Amino acid sequence: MCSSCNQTESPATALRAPLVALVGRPNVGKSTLFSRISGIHRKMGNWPATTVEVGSADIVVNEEEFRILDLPGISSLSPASPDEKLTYDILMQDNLDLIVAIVDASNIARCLHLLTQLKELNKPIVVALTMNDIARKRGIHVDIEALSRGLDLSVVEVLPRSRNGTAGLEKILTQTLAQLKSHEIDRSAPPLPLDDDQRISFVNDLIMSSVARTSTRPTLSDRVDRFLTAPISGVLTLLGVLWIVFQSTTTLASPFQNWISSIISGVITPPIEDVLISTPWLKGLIVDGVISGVGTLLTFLPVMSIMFLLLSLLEDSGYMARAAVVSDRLMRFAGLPGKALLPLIVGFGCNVPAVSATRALSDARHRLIVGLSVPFTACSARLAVYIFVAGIFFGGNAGTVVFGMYVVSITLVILFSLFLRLTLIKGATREPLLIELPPYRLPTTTFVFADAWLRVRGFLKEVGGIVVITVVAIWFLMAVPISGDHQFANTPVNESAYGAIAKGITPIFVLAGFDDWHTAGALVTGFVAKEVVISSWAQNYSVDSPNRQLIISDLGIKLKQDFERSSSGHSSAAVIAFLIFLTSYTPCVATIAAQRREFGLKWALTGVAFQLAIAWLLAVAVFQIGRLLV
Amino acid sequence: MSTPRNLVLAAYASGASTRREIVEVTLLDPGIVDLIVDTMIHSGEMNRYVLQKDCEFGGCRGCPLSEECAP
Repeated sequence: MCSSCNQTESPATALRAPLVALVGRPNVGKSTLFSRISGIHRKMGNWPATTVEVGSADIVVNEEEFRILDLPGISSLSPASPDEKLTYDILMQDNLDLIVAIVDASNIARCLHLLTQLKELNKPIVVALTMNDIARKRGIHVDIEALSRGLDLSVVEVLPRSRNGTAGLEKILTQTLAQLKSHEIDRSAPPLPLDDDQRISFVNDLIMSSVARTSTRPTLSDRVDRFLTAPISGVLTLLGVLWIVFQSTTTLASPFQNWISSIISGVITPPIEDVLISTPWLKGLIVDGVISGVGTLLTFLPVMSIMFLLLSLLEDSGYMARAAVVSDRLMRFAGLPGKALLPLIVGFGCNVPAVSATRALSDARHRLIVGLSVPFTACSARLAVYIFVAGIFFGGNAGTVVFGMYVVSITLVILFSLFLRLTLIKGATREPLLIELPPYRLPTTTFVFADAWLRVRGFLKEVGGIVVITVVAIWFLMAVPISGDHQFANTPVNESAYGAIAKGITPIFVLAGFDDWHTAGALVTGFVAKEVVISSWAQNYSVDSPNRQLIISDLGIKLKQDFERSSSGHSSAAVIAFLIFLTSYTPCVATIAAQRREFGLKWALTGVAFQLAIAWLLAVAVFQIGRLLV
Repeated sequence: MSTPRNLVLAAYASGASTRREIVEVTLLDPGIVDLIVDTMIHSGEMNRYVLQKDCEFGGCRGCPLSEECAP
């Protein structure tokens, strides 16, 4: 196709049909206009030696014959794809006689920016203004004469879908081609090339002089955005939404949790116990370890499913981006760059990828500040423990307690970042963030369920992987005797390696009100992964039961008794202190490894030291103050 | 000199974080603000990231999107 395209003769001298190209950004109505002009004469095919499709047509208008090309859409004259490269190459050819620049009136600034670049090619240009009907509906009114004057080009309004204006365009095309033939168009003085800043200023002046916006009344979406992103109402709405999510999750999930718990303890466990009754060590491993630990975590499947569904609903509705604008302000308060929001949001899912995501920040000091603050974001694994503990101790107010832990987490991130910025890591530069607000929409069932499933699947993988491994490791430590005359796998937990470690650590928590070895042991194993805290509790209490059996639903009663005892009757204060310790101390070894990889061992260990110190100090302070109040 | 681009950069610096806020601060046409953001992304002065709400349990191990996580 288009054998004449490689000709290089001047159009005034060549005995060929003039070549006209339709050029514009993608989706400006270029191909519709091409169809209208070319009618039945158009041909579609790949451009020679490329896989890029180009439309062409040989047509006769007002007895004037010319060849017209429908070139692939282009955003600028710096091509970013093979399609754009082809358009660029054709525009650079000498045998191109006339450019019809398509300008979408509803997206006029971007189109005029491309037009300023086309003008620098020093080729004759006619402007076809499309989508003017849509622009008018949006309150954008283009003064075509003023635009033509400002551009020093002919501008014709065309509405290709309704054929309006195509005759006018054809008339201008033939007139311009006739002027070309008779050398009436002076191309001896090409315009001076502009830099991008000058081009934008030119387009801005052009828009100021030729475009009026009458739709100054904010849309409903604008008004909602204004409310949801305002400094006070935005923060209050975000807090309210979070509270509703946690309260609904804990309330709705409770019956399903009880049902799964009864299946595990009533249907699955008894027959396995019967089979393993003759091999106590295997029963200890399978029933007291795997079933007790993993089974307790599996009761959280409904909790996670409901919460992920609610978060997916918020995401798909467009609210999450508004929440990000509100959070961005909090980041700035801490002196963090707007982009710090990206890893911190990831951190509320899992801290490990959040540490890696600090690479999005270009300033090394910012990366370090954010990377060391990420462990204070309450990851999903901690959420399982929050819900478990809050459900046992606070019943109907569990959602509020969980919500409170998220507020504590966000506060810790902000204060710790501020502390680092003012003390250890000074002098970081600003890095702004512009957040694109997607339109509000009704969430789609497919997206919401698919997104929630992706996350639930991650929870199940974790339970089936690292949790099982940790449960087996704890069982092994509980089976190894370190005092007394006991055999492997037949050791009282008091005299096992695990018991020695847990009891050695327990005194540290005396001042925090939870100096019980079951809890201290669970916090140690929590270094592996936070959800392991629950499975460890289940395993510890199961092994420690007189008949070495524990019904999962009894775990709450035993925990309540021990917290009551260790806190001398101030169990609420001790539990809050425990939850704050859980929020503040090192999330898991995988996070430490990620920090070591990103910032080196020294900073990773510094971070751990800070986390442990802050966690302990806060837990002690909360318990000591709380015991006076409660 | 206060070019439109400088106005947008100043709006950033003063805390505007959405297109609407920048338009309100600079009084520029919204299309011009979009154009300036486009050109800054094109020139590498700004980067575009997808805002993820969170990640799966267990870090990157089980995540099919892990390669896109950290730029």
